[in-house]
Amino acid sequence: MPDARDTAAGAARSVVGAVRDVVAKVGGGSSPSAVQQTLTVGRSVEEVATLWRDPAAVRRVLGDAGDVTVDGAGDRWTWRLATPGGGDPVEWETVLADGGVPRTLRWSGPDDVGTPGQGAELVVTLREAPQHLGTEQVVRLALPVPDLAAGAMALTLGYRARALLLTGETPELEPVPAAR
Amino acid sequence: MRALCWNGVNDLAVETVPDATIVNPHDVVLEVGLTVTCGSDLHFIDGYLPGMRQGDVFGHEFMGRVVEVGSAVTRTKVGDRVTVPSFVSCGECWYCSHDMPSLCDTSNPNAALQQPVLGHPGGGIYGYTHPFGGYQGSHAQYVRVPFADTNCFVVPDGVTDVQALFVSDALATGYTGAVFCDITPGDTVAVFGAGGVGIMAAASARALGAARTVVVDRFPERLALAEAQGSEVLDYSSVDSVQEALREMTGGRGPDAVIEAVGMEGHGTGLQNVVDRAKQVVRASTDRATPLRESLLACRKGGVVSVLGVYGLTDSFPMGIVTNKGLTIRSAQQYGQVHVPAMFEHIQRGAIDPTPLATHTMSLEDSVEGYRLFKEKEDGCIRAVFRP
Repeated sequence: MPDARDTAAGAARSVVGAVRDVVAKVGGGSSPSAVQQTLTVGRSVEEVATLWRDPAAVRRVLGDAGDVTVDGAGDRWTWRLATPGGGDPVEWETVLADGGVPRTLRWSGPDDVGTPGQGAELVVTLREAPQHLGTEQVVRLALPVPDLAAGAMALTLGYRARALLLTGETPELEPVPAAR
Repeated sequence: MRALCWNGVNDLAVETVPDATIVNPHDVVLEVGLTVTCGSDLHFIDGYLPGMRQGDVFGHEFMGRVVEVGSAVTRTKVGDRVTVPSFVSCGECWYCSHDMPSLCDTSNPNAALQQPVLGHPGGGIYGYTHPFGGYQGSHAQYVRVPFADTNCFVVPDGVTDVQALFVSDALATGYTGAVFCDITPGDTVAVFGAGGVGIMAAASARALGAARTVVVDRFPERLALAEAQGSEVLDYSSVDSVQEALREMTGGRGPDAVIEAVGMEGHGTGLQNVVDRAKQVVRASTDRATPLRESLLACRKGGVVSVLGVYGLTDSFPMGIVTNKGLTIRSAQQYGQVHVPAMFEHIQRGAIDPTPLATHTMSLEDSVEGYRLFKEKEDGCIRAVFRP
């Protein structure tokens, strides 16, 4: 039979661990932490990949969340993403790598410590979805913002990309949102 | 344009707001002909449902005339008299193409607000909190309708504006709930709640073949309307046990299906309802789920419980009843886009008539008073209809 003090200590450790996990999710920090969101998109892997390689389409996917510019060769992308609560935008330069099995598009930032966007990364992994439902699109985002905010951003990017592919538009409210 | 705005808990006002406009190519703008109160609005007016922001234009049940069309709209025309289901369907995603339009995968601009609560975000809805999309609502002179060719239904001759209004939501929701009951001829269907949705659910159940419908409520004028429409009625406040009363009315077997049309602010006479009310007052729970539990108890073994009431996060749900009675639970926000043609046919042949729901009709400028009448159920108000 377990000692009551051991049980209490174990429960306390469990609670402390749970609190630590929650703080990590909502508090964030200065170093990037990665989250991912997986959605099914009723289009082929090639169609989804084509959208993500098209800077104009990606700008529409970003909407109010940010902007992206691309150099002439098309592999150096500079991102500027809004952060929750009106904080300073996250801006970083990336190089796009595309390929592999499953198809993976990876925009990686610089590795140099102290460089803006150091360690930030956007990875879109595409594979055929089960039951011939199209493409399983996994958006993985590493940003120096809290996990919950990065998770919302990853979901928003994936959701809006799917909407654009399926309907030709992204869901928008401006200039007539519900609220003033 | 003029619009009814939510400015806080129990704080509504008619104000001047920016005009509704075309935003996306598949949009149209309607001049709102009629727009109506809904019981689900009371949940955020009373402060039980979060997600509203000061100044929000609300309202989601409406009909009107098309005054402007977007560049990609092909079938909907300026001048069309249309009704619009309250959920926005894109018509293209897997859910929309499998007859589940309120589960649309693309129409919610604020999907990221809803995913943590639901796991998978649903479709957007007009004027019903930001997690449900943040779209401007219909209690206004004009309203934007996305994906117009999927969501605008031209009202046929022989269907009045008022009838078309309720096809937008009260009838669409009730009809969806009745379809969920898998009714076979001779069935008995009980309906908890004699509001607009409950009365339309009972009418739909009969139109779909139910031999008997029994509507349960406590307000005499609502029960009278349900009775006038063809239901048997049961005033739960006048009997010792609504369960025994329903058993007695069904030869001891219980209804073949039960439709719950009340939602998170339910009433009852038992101890559990007292506990629910106390928890809701101190915000320890979002819901008073008494009618939901009563529905599970009332349904015959192996029957269907169709849940139409709007709930938050009910934390005291008697799952053991479901398992041990072999119940099937069906629920969804309305699938109006699927059922509008059938609803129009039922109205045209006189099988369903939502007209009596419109107990009060007034100007949009008087809509604050309209909501007061509706909320307090004064003057026999079942629904207050506004003419912007």
